[in-house]
Amino acid sequence: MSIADELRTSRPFLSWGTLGSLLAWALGVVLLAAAVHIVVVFMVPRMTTSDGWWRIANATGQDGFTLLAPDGKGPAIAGLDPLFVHGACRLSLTEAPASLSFSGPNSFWSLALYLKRGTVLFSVNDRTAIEGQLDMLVVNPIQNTILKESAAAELEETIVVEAPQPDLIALVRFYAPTPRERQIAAEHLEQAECAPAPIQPAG
Amino acid sequence: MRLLAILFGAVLGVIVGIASTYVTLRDLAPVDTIQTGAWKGWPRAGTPDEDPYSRAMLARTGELALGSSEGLKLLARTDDAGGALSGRCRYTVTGQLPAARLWTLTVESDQGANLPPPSRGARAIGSDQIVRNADGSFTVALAPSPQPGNWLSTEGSASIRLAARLYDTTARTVTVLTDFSVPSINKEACP
Repeated sequence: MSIADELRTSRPFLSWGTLGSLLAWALGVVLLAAAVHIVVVFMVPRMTTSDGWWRIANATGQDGFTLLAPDGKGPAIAGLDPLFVHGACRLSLTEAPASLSFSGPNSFWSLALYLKRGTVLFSVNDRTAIEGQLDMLVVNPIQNTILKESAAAELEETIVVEAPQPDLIALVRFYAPTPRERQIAAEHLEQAECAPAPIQPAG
Repeated sequence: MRLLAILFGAVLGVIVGIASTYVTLRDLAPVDTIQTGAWKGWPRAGTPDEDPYSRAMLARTGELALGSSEGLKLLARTDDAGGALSGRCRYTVTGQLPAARLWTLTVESDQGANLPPPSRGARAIGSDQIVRNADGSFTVALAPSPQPGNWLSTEGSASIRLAARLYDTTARTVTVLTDFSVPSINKEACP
């Protein structure tokens, strides 16, 4: 028997049947990989305890603003503008609403309220402030109802923000490019108030 | 034999799935960006409409996005020719940024970390400190050694990126980038 005869009579290395199952196998692998990919992308923000929210939450108290040092000093919060002075405060609304009150320096400043996973609930900049002073009350839906009933007169110049979650952080950014301005901004931050504020019962 | 093939396929699928996620999230989120020139922005970062890739990436890097009343961050990791920015080279950044009450331009590591303070000069400059050209545009030199005019030091870092943070800006609501002016980044010299 010649070599040509042998080639003609031998079965092909890959029959259509094995090729089909190989393709099905490859498709299965790709589909599984895609499913895992999607699940992991959605899981990362839910599982992490080292995202920006948690890093700030672990570094700050509930009483007053904590000065956030730039990278390398103190809690390392990534992505903060080095020309700004940042202060953060953790808000917990389970017991009482949280009251934020501060006066900013003369240059640009802004404040953002972050929900867990880093979604911005509310943000404001110095243009909204009345004579550089910002008063804000963060409430949960139940507290908001009580607040509306009590209708305290001193709330007229207060921004009331209703939060869907009890755990938030407030982050203020003061533009302070020079050492002198940094010092002024730090002083403003020191005097800034951030504390639980129980609603006074309607009298 | 069949069971072995299925097992091997399952393991391979999981590995490929995790590896592809890792590779995607290691880099800047490629989806839902606004882009012009070498600059990229994520105007929906930090909002409830944020895409899952951006959210996962911010969770990984630990960054908190600017709020809508605060501003927008734009990033450039390459020059206009497409080459990665290197701290050893000299670049000129010239032009205008989108309208904002205040903006800052910062040299950071390619992963977004703040670089240590340089021995001379600064890593960041604000729009109120910058010296402008006669037509209102600006020119900033990026170089490891002092340069005349506006200069940001890239000393001590091989891979860098440039962050432009626009504060109190309307650029967030821009979805079509036609009226989105960004400065050009041109490589001048490389040792």
